[in-house]
Amino acid sequence: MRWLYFAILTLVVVILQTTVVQVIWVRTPFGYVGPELLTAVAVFAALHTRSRLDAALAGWTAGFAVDLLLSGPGMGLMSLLYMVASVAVHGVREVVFRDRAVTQMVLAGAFCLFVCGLLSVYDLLSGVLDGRGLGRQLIHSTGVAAYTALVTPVVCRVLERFRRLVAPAPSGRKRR
Amino acid sequence: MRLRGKPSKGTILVGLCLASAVCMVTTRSRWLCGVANPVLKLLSVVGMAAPVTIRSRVREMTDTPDRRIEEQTRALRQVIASQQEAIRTRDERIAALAGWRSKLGGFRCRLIEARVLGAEPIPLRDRRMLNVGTNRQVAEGDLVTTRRLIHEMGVALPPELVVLGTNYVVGRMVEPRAFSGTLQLVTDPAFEMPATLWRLVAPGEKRMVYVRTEDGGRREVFLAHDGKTPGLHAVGDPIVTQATGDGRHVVLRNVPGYYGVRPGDLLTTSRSWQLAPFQLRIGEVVRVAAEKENAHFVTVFVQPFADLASLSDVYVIQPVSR
Repeated sequence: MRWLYFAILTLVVVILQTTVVQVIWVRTPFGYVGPELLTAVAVFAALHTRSRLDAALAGWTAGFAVDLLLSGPGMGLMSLLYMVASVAVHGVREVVFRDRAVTQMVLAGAFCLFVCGLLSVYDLLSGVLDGRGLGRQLIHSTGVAAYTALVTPVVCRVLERFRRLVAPAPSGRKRR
Repeated sequence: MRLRGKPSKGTILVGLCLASAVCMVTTRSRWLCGVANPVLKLLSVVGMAAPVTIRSRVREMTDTPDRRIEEQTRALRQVIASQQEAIRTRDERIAALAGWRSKLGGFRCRLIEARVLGAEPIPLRDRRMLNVGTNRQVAEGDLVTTRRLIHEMGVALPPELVVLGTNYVVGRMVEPRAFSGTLQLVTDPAFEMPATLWRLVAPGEKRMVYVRTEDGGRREVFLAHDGKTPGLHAVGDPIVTQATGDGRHVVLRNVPGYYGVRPGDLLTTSRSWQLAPFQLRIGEVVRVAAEKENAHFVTVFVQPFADLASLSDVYVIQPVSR
């Protein structure tokens, strides 16, 4: 993993996510639903890194970028959640076809649902949300996860072009 | 003690995890965001130009002439209503200065121009990052309005009304940092603020409202528009309520049903709230639903006047007394 390039990629994606991506947000009864590009980046990195440690570090970096731009209590939570989810994605990469769009969609959806779900639970525990709010936010999270899943194959296709810069192919192991 | 060699990735990861855990339990860890945000400011300003421009172009292309006329009519009605409000406030001030009231009304405030730098990376919360912070003395709880100039509508008004006329409340400041701050929109699920609901009548229209009698009871009376202006007119006592967000609307819960709130009524900031100048407009009632637990109460859904999706330039209202 080339960490400087990965840090630059994360910076670019986080800027895009907080600004330009608003154009494709969809208004729903539960609030705006938009794709989470950093999830796609973290999934891509986890699928293409050499070791579990690299996947964890990439996940932590992406999560930390989210942490820096989120408000409310729990600074540091997203970096931990992203790290755990990235390690999980890295763990299943040997049993899936990682270049398949369906695989990327399922993994990104599960990743996003895990992160947003636990963030909602944290909001409940820290008193930001009440029980009714938690229910609404979980449904909202499902929408965000679904949208992210739809967008992830496109993001992965774009990142594939820069893969040699960010995450060179693992040596001594055949790609599935 | 001196470390030998480079720390392994495992050691770095453990260190980062510990740092995250410490940040989670430390209340002041958000200062890190304050350090990072100025770095992101410049890029965000460029990035935000895209969604705002695209949205306004799309709206221009998709709006039918009828819809445009309807929008202009609605905006003009708002201007008339705000003129009435301004005149009433001036009358109150004159009355106070003339000795009719011991307490001087009004609210002196400073308007701080701010720009939206971006949204939150995860759209679960309705919040935006602004380019002003404690460097401009912005504090938590300061009200934020849209920044729309009246000349956009081709109507000439005195300068004071420019600010008051078409500016709608969009939220309030939370977590102001050194050079940036977070704006919590009125639709954010964690938003909460005292607000006032006004029942409106159109010209030539009557409306039944309950008024209090001397013995503490209520009786129904029909109130009509005075016909002096073509705009909507408030009737009956204003309803003091608590506004919260649900991600899409501003929601007013547990509003007594006998008030007869209906779509088209107006929500403004509350006079009782120290951080708001006076009845600044928030939105319009779009739906009234009976409470499930208690049939005597209703939940009111209010659509904000401001277009929160393409918010770019705003004012932060700061009390001069601070």
